[in-house]
Amino acid sequence: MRRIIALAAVLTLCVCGDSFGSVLHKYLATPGGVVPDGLIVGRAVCQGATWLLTEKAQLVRVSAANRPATVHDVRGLLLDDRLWGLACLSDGSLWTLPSPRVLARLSPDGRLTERQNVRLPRVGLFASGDRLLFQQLPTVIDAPILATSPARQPFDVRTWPGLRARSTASREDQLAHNLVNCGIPAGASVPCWFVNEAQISVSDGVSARLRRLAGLRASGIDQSAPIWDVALAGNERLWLLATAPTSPSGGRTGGRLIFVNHLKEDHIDLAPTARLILSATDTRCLVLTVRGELMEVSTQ
Amino acid sequence: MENTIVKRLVQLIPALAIAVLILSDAQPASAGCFMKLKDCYATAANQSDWLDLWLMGLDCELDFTDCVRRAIIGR
Repeated sequence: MRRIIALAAVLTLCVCGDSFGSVLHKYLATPGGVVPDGLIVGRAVCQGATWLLTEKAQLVRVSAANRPATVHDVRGLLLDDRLWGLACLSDGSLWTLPSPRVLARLSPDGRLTERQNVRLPRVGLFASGDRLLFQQLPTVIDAPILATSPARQPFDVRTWPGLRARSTASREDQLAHNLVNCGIPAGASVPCWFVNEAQISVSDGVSARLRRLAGLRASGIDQSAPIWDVALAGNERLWLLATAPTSPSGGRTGGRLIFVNHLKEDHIDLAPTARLILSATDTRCLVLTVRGELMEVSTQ
Repeated sequence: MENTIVKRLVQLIPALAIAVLILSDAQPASAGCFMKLKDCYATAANQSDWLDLWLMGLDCELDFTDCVRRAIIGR
């Protein structure tokens, strides 16, 4: 009963007043504490749920239909493991990188299994259909920066069209400025971007196209890394979380949610700001706020 | 003779990398990562065997990449 009253109180705190004429509306869907603290180092969406992996080695499952989240400690880690990346394949299997040269399967209850060595170090891990999508080193200037392979056949590598490695003045800049992040896919199509660029490459592994959004050039967005997160919602629709200006503590978050419908863009400023997008449809987007609440933004 | 020259050139790589680092413009969000890389390269430069030096240099770069991605991609 107390929980219902708390939820009702949160829902009544509907904050729709700063949308600047936007058709988007937002409301807090749950109170805070849904997701444990700790840097989120991986996110995967599949089979009706969103999976988050934290730096503190916790696997979190958030379901839009069945809140709150379930949390499992990751087991089976070796001493030097530092988890990074989370990918969910079309068969529902979860994969992560315990270290750059090791790929491992993660069971839904957090157990690491099927450790296998990969030939080249991987520094980013995502998924497209039944193949893992990854960034591996070394970076070759002007070559495709992402590639795919089946999880259990890591040497069957195919290049991923779209983003190509950029040349920089120095080797460390080459490493830092060529880091890629990818958002929530729609089918086999995955949105990916360089962290310091204002354009998204959407590819399905066969062809790719670049999308530039006018809304990213607006004031109130950190122009040094304007794209914080992206979720595709079909061929012509996407949700983009734009980076808020850096806080005094130096932390970055998503401050503005932009909805792109064909060529039309609407946006809504988020308060509190968001850590990332949890899930999206063509009319709704669920984000995790910095206070640990789930906030839903809808177009209706 | 030729082998000695190659060995000396390889040993110079970390020193050159440090020089480039000092002169380069580091990003605020990952500034600490650049400093750690500089220290790591300096340690690698002390390796007497060029293969150890090269391998340690690669590890430095992997650690650097991990540091930067946690600073700018981690949520």
